[in-house]
Amino acid sequence: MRDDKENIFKKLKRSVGDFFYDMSVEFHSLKKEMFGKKEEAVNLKRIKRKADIRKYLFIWLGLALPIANFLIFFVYVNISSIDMAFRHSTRDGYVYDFANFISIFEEFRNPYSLISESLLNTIKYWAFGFFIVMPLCYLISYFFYKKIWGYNFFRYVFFMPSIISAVIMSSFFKFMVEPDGPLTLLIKSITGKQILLLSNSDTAFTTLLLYGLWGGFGINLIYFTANLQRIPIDIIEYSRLDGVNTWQEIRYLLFPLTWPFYSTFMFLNLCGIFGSGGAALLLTQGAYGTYDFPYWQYVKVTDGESGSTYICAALGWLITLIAMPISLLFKHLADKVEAVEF
Amino acid sequence: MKHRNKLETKRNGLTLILFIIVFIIFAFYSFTIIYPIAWGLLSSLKTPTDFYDNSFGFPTVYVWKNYVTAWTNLEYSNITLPEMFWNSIWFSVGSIVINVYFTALVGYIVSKYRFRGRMFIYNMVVFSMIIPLYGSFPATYKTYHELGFVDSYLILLSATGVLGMNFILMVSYFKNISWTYAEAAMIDGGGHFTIFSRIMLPLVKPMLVSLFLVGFIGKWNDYMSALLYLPNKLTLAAGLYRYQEIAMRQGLVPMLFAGLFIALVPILIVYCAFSNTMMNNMTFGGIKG
Repeated sequence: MRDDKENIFKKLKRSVGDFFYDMSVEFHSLKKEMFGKKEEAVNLKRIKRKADIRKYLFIWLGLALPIANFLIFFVYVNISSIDMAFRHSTRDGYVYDFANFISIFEEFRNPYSLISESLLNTIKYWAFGFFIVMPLCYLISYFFYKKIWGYNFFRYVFFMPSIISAVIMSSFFKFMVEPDGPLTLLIKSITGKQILLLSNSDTAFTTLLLYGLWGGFGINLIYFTANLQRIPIDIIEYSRLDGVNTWQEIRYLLFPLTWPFYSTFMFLNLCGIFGSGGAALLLTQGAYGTYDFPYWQYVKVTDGESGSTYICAALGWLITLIAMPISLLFKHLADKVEAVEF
Repeated sequence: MKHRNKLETKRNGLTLILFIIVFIIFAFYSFTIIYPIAWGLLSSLKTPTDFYDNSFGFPTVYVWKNYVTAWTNLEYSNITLPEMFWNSIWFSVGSIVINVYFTALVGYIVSKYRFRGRMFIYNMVVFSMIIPLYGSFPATYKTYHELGFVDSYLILLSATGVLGMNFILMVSYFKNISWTYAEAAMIDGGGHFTIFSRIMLPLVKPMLVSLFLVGFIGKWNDYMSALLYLPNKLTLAAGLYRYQEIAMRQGLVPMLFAGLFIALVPILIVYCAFSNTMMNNMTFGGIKG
C-alpha cells in the first residue's frame, strides 16, 4: 500500500515537472521565432562582453603589482633623483640650482679629488673587462667548444667563482695576502721582499684588477660556449677540408658567425661602463687609490648627509648624459656590421 | 674503434702544442681557484694559534668544534649566525619566488594577449636595460626608507618588478608555446588564471627552475642589498662581511672561516644537485632570449 502511494506520488511529480518543462520549451521557441536572430546576436554580445571582462580582469590584475613596482622604483625614483640632483641645502632649507654640478666640476679640477680618482678607476676597470677579460672569455669558450682535455672539469671549476659569494672568495684572498698569508710568503720567497699587495698604493689597484680577472669569467663562459655550439658542424668540417688553421677558424669563421651575440654582450657591457668596479668595498675600502664609482656612491649615500646624496645624484645624471650617447653610438655601429646567417 | 667527436679533429703539429699550452694554463687557473677554497677549509679546522703559526700547512689538530662554535657564538650586532641563516633563507627564497612568478606572469600576458599598452611594457623593459641610469641610487635608497622597507619583510614587495633579461627570456619562451593548449582548456571551462597556473606554468618549468636557481644563488650571495636595506636583519653574506673586522681584531679567523663554509653549504648543495639543469637550461634560454 505504501509503495503504491509512493509510486503514484512519483508519477504525479514527474508528470507535473514534464508539463512545466514542455511549457518553457514552447515559450522559448516562440520567443526565438518572434525575435529571431536578434536575440542570438544579443546573447552572443553578452557572452563576449563577459569573456572580455574576465580576460581584461586577468590581464590588469596580473600586471597591477609589477606596474606599481615600475611606477615607484623606476619612474618615481628617477624623477626623485632629478629633483635631488638640482637640490641644494641652505641654512633656511633648500633651493633648486646648479650648485651641485658646479661643485662637481670644481672637484674635477683637483687632481687628488675622490671623484676624479673613482671615475678614472672605474673607466680602467671597464676597459680591462671590455678589452681583456671579455676577449679572454671568448678564447676560453673556443677551447671549451673544441672540447679540450678535461673540458667538463674545467667548465665546472671556472664557473665556481660565480657561485661562491664574493664575500667568501674575497675573505680567503684577503687573508692569503696578509703579512703572514701564503701568497705574501710565496712572493717573499721568490723576490726576497715582503710585498703587501693590498696595503700598498703601487700594487693595490693592480691587485684588484687581477682579482677581477681571476673571478671574472663565470657565467659569460657558459653563454659564449653555448653560442658557439649553435654553429652547424658542417661549416667547421668544410673549413678543415680547406686547410683552415685555428686562428683562421676563429677570425674568419666563428667570430663573424657569432657577432650578433657577441656585439649584444659588448653593448650591454658598455651600458654598464660606470657601474664597473673592483672589490673595493670587500678588499680595500677604497684605500691606497682604489676608489671606484660604485664604492664612492655607496659611501656618499650611507654617510647620512643630505648634501652628499644630492652631489651623488647630480654626478650620476652627469655620467648618464655621457654614457648614454656612447652606448647608443656603439649599438648603431654594431648594427651596421652585417650579421652572417646560417 | 673509439668514436672521435667531430669537433675534436685531428690535432697535430702546432695545434697540438697550442692545446697542450692552453691545457696547462687552464689547469693552473683551476688550481688557483681550488687552492684558496681548500686552504680556507683547512684553516677553518685550525686553532687561532695554529692558523697564524702554520699558514701553509695542514692543521696540527683538527678542530671540528670550530663549526659548532661558529654556529653558537658567532654574532655581529646581536645577530647570531642562525638568525643570519634564517634571514638569508627568507630574503633569497622569498624574493626569487615572487620575482620568478611575476616575471612568468607578465611574460605570459605580454606574449599571449593583445591589449593596449602591451608593446609599451615590452619596450620599457628593453629601454631600462639599454639606457644606463646612474643617478637613481640615492633616490632608491631614500625611497626604500620612505616606504618602510628597511629592516622589514615588506622588502620582498620590491621583488615584484620584472625589469631585466629574465622578462625577455620568458616572453620568447612563451611565444614558442602553442595557444592550442589554452583553447582546449577554455573549451573545458578553464579560466585565464587556471590556464596560466595549470597549463602554461608547467610547460615552462625548465626555464622557471633555471631562473629560480640562478636567482637564488645571486640573492643568497648578495651582500650589498642586506648592508643597505637590512642592517638589523643581516643575511649571511652581509653579516659575515661585517664580522671580518671583529675576527681580525680578536684573532678568531678560523671561526670566521667556519662561518663562511656554513654559508657556502646551501649553495654547493644547489650547485652540485642542479648544475646540469642550470647550465643546459640557461644556455638554451639565454640564446633564445
